[in-house]
Amino acid sequence: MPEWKHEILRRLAPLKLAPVREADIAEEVAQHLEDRYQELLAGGAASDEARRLTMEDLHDEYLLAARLRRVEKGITQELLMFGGGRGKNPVSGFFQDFRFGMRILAKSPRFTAIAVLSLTLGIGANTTIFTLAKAIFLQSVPVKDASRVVALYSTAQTTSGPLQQYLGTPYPNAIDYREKTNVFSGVCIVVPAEVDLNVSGNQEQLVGELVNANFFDVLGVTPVLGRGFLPEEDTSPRPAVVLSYGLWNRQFGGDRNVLGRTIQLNEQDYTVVGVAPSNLQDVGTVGSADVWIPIAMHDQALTGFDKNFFSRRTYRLTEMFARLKPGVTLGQASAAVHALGLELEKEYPKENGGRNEMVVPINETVIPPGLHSTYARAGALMTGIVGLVLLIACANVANLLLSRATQRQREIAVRLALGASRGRLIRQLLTESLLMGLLAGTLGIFCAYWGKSFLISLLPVDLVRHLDISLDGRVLLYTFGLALVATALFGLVPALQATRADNIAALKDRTGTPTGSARWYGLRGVLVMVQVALSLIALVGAGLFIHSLKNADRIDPGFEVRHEIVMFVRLGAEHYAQPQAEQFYRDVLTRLDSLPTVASASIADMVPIYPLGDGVAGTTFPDGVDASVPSNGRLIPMVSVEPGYFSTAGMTLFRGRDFTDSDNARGAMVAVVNQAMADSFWPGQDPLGKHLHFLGMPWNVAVVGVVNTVKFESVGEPSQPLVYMPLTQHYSPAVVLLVRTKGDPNKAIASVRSAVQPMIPSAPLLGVQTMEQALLNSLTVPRIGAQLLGAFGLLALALAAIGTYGVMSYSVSQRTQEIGIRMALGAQHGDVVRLMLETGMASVAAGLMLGLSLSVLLARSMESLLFGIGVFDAQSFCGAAGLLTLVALAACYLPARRAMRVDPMVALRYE
Amino acid sequence: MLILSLVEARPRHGYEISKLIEQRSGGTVRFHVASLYPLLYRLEKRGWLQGRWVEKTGQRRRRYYRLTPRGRRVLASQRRGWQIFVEAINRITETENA
Repeated sequence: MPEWKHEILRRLAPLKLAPVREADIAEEVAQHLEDRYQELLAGGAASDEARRLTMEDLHDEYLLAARLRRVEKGITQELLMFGGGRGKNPVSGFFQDFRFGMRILAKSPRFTAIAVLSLTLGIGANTTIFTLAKAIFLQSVPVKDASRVVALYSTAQTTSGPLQQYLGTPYPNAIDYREKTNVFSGVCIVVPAEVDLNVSGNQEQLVGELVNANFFDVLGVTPVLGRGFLPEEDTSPRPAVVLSYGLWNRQFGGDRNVLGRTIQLNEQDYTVVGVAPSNLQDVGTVGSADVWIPIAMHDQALTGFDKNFFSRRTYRLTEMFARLKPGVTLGQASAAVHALGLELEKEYPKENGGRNEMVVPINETVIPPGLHSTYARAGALMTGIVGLVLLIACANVANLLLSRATQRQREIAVRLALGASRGRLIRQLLTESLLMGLLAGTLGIFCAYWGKSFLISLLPVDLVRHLDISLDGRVLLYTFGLALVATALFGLVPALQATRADNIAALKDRTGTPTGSARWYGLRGVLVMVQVALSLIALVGAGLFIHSLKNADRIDPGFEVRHEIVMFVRLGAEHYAQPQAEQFYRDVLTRLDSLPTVASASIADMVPIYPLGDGVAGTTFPDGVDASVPSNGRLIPMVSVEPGYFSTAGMTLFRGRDFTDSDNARGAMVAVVNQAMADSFWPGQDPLGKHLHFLGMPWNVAVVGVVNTVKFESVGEPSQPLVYMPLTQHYSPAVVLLVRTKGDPNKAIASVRSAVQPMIPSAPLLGVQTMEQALLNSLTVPRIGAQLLGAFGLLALALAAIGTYGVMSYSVSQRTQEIGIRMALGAQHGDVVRLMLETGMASVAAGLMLGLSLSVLLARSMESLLFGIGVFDAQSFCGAAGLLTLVALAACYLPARRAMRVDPMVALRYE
Repeated sequence: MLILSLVEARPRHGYEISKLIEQRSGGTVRFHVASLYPLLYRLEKRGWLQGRWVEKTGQRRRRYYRLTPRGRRVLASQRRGWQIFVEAINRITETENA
């Protein structure tokens, strides 16, 4: 007898089964072969012949092992389930679906790859933007129980104009809010101040904050070294200072013996009493200070306006924050504060007319509150655009699924015929979709990880430092949710379509061509239309921003840009009393004017676009109104300048005269207004000779000139009124030097710097740069916006092109017979191509129309983010539509060309 | 379904099952060894069949397969499904011929 067992064991060897199991199988199968062999012998076969036939039963060399591997290693095979597995455990049913889904996906790797890639790009883009949005909108300030900490701001209502919010609170008012409310467990007043630190001859300019003694208690923060402030330090001026963690490390090398040391701030000795924890920075409105000083030291620590106007009830100097009493809600606190505000208005009608106080959770002050709407709009725009990208990706995958459902129609029809319930089939199809969604979600996280580095490379370094751009639990949760939503979006409709009961008709069809294809194609056409519309919106958005950015370069800011150097110098009052400072101003201008590279130089306390500077805004009144009622006036920025400033800045004097040396402290008070101010205060009248009055000031200021309106805070801003005053009448110890050069300002920077710095050895020159650079910096955010939108717009375009191509290819393959017949009947290649293009481009055209109208709505809502281009920016709209049309044409043409090559004979043979 | 039906009445061993399938189908359906035993093991794993070594005097021991209660339920449901399928096919082909 042949040794069957040996042969079988040889074949089982690669499976590496447990010995007992292996022996069992070998015995059983050998028994079978032996039975067969004996039967063949009994039937009269020769022994060799019987042996050969028996071995044939074992089939080929590897089949037994391959089949057994699947069973023994738990790789189960989906058997055709008659009756749809009713009454089965739903969880095991899910795993069954899951396994089946995996196999289905693995079976068509090309389909799976395209679908998953589309989704990955969509989900990755969304996750990236969410990471950024989370860092900006959902950050929490690093204090104990931050949700109970609020910031207090002043509001001002003028008779004309909107309610102004998020203003500082005058110190006397702040005292009232601190002492006369009972909704807070603690209120702290903060006065920001710039101070010069002097450590054994080393100068450093610091951000200081004058604070109440309860500063650390209200925040719920404990110093890592030493103590916070003592109650008695609130009542009498004692020179104590708490250092920030950063300063402690930077200047004192983290030395624990720093406690009790004396340091010099503004040439005054202070004793170090504590070091704040490292995370105490970016505390919303409180910001990030280097040193904290008791507020009782205000007379010693403050300079300039802040020192002189400290106790004026009109001077909005302080920031405030408070901790809500346990049980008190934000609404109750707001109501109490508002009620007190009304009382204060009654008590001090001249100072507090139209003014009140508002309460804002401190977490909401991380973004400067005045910029909330801009941030929100930019955030909505970004989220919207990446949302579009995801929608397009979903439409793509839905399309792919629809065309695959056609291929699987017979499978589905058989299952339905065998009694599988529709719900069961939908579940199966949705599980496959979910698998793709989850896979794409996982890959999307990686994509976002890469996108994050891309984002960081775009953002300014000092912004990145403040943002928590990490992929944390919230991001994972968001991505997971997104994958589920996407699955529902792209999976549901195809699953419903594919399992319609009338699909059973497919069984009749031998070729696999769907009979219900008209409706199926209709749905796919709609998907193409939606894709085209969505990607057009994304492209128009990108186009608008890119065009707007280009435009920003071309906007005339109203002043000279190409030949200017700016630098900031702060002459602390302790180094220079006013007379010395004014002498320095005169000396430095003379010195600069003598440089061969310099055309002219001037000084102002603020210059346009440049972020450094110390100017103030004052509530300003024209003649003929009651200047004691704040609501009659308007808050206007006041810029103090030296004579000659307008010509150095390249501005135009429309009427009247520039300031002269005789407009000094002894002369009559004068001002030059810009055109916007003239138009706003004295429409249709000659502003020359008119007078201006300021809240709480005895000034009577005559208007002596009118200059052009410059872009002051950003190049995109609408014209805003400005008042220019002589620096000699409105002294400021912190000024910007504006230098107009003869040639390239970059070449002059070094000589200008080396000319100025020796004249003020103790005060560093800050922010020395060309005006061109300052302008470029001011456009950082729009530039990032344009880059991001451009990237997402192209992504959307690519996805839409894939989608259109997919639908057209499908359409061609479905219509092969029709094309064959047409060609057999004499249609030319051109006719066929035209036919296919017409079909595809009809959907594209409908999508273009839809997209264009939606884009107008988008542009309208984004108007405030755009520089000087109208709502209907022809260039962006036509460019986007043109680009999309070209890409869609290409996507339609490739399959159409394939249609052209259809051989009529081959096509018809299928019939 | 084929195998489940064959062991419904009484337990049978693998060779017997393969012979029966071949005979009853008039030779149309034939299972190779390489297909039959993996399938039997799979059905056993699912708990629809139970295999057991049985020794009869004078013979080598053989593994007999019998239908489990669960297998019986599955068979019933598969038979129902098959009937529906056949009817469906019949209805379709009738319409086609009409």
